[in-house]
Amino acid sequence: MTGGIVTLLALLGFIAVVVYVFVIKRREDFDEQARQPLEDRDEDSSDRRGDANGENKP
Amino acid sequence: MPRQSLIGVNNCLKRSKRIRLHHDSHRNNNPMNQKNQTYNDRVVRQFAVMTVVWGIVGMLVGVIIAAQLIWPDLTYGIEWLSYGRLRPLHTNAVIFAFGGSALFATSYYVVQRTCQARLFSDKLSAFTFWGWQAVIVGAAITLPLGKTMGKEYAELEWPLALLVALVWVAYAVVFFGTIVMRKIKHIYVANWFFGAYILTIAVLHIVNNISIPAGMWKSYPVYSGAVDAMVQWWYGHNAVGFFLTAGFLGMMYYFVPRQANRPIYSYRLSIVHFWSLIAIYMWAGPHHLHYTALPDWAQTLGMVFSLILLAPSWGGMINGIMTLSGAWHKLRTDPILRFMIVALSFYGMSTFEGPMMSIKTVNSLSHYTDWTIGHVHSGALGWVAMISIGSLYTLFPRLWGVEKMHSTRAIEWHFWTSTIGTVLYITAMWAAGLMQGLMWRTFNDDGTLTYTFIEVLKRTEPYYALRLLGGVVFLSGMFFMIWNVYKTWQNAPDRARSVAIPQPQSA
Repeated sequence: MTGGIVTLLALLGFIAVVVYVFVIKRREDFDEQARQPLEDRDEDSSDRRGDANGENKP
Repeated sequence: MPRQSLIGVNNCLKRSKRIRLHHDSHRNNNPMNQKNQTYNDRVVRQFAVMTVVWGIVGMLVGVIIAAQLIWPDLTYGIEWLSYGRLRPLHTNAVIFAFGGSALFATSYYVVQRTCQARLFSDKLSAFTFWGWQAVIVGAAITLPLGKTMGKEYAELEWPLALLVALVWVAYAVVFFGTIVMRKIKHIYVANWFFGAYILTIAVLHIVNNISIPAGMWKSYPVYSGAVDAMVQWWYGHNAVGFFLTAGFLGMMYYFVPRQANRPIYSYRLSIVHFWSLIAIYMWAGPHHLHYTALPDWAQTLGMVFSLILLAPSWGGMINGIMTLSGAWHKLRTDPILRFMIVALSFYGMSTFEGPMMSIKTVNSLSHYTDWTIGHVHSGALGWVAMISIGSLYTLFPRLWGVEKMHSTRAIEWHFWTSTIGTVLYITAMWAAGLMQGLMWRTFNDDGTLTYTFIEVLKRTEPYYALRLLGGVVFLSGMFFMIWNVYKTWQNAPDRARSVAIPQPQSA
């Protein structure tokens, strides 16, 4: 009985995460968040790092 | 070109609610203001360099014990160097010294960069470095002396276990403190993985190590019997799940996009990946105790959760590999990216193998054979070591302010030695394990065993030689790395540079 309830709650939790991520949240928010590692450029050496930085940005 | 990229970043930020970056924040030379306006990269450098050093030490001990399995008298019967004492030294050194240092270095780097904040406390982070090194040195002394709790991957006796707990609490304070101080609204997904790993390891380590001291270097666990075994493998498997998986996935989610210069394939998938992975891993431990005194239902539970675990594991692997979709050509020229993609491939392979081996009928063949050792090393060498090495090659030039590592050719060599070494190692152990499992379960008509133990061992010897070769080849790559790291350091114009934190401007 308790096992069944816990399983059901876990399933609902999973569905809630999926609904939140794929339905409720806006795509643009995620796109912006996903770019975060690309924006770290350890600035004071960027002049030496050359054009590898700008390459391949969609 | 850098100008253009900055304009791109700027446009992207204008659309957002986020704080705008101030592009002209070059180094601030005023020592009064410098501290809070720069990142703390000192502790990152220390951990990154020690990762390479401990990697060599730990893998060298691995090579020695692999040789001992072929030549048992290799160390002239000196008890401190016997197999039983060196084996825990090997596992502790590669997991906690090499892997641990890599995780400290990358998590400290990533949390600062993605939060745009300096580490919460310089003193505490320095304590984590020196404390962690002290634990490692302590392990290197006590384990050969035979001071051990006898619990796998939790061998360290109570004084050292206590120090681990202290360092870990300090680590949690520094990491979560930095997240609290963040200037970016969103917490990037890599930090979720690092955070889960830090929290869970604290809980696992403390619960599994609760014991009653009986002298300075002797203690007894408070658990006994099947409960002790269950607690130990709840710890043991979640050390795999959270230390060797979640932590390194944090590394993957930051360094793969950064090295590929592309955002992660699906940020949505990364969130589903995170929650399902941490929810399911917690229950998989009992598969280490199939056909033991552990209740049957607990064994089945462990097996079922291990099977479900395939889904989030592969979700993460696909997310990492597909980040390169449309840019596969980069693999041809960039050995660092190749390290990361091959690491993800090994991750996918061992997370398929793991659930398969957790099935009770398969486990009855594979358990106690060298197949298990092969499985562990496809994860440890193929996934953990290769993703760390790739991430470190991305990290070192940035820490020392140079464009790239001294020699790309040496990275190329390192890549091939790592890949070939891993493949040799795991194929040897697969073949040995299957053979052992099959020979052990062969019976004569009268019910007696067909093969004696020593017969099986004799047949295993050639595979042990192949395994040793694989280990030596893998280790040789680490020497390319340490040379390359030294040369990069030597040629860096400003080794102790501090990088300015982008300063917020009123938008």
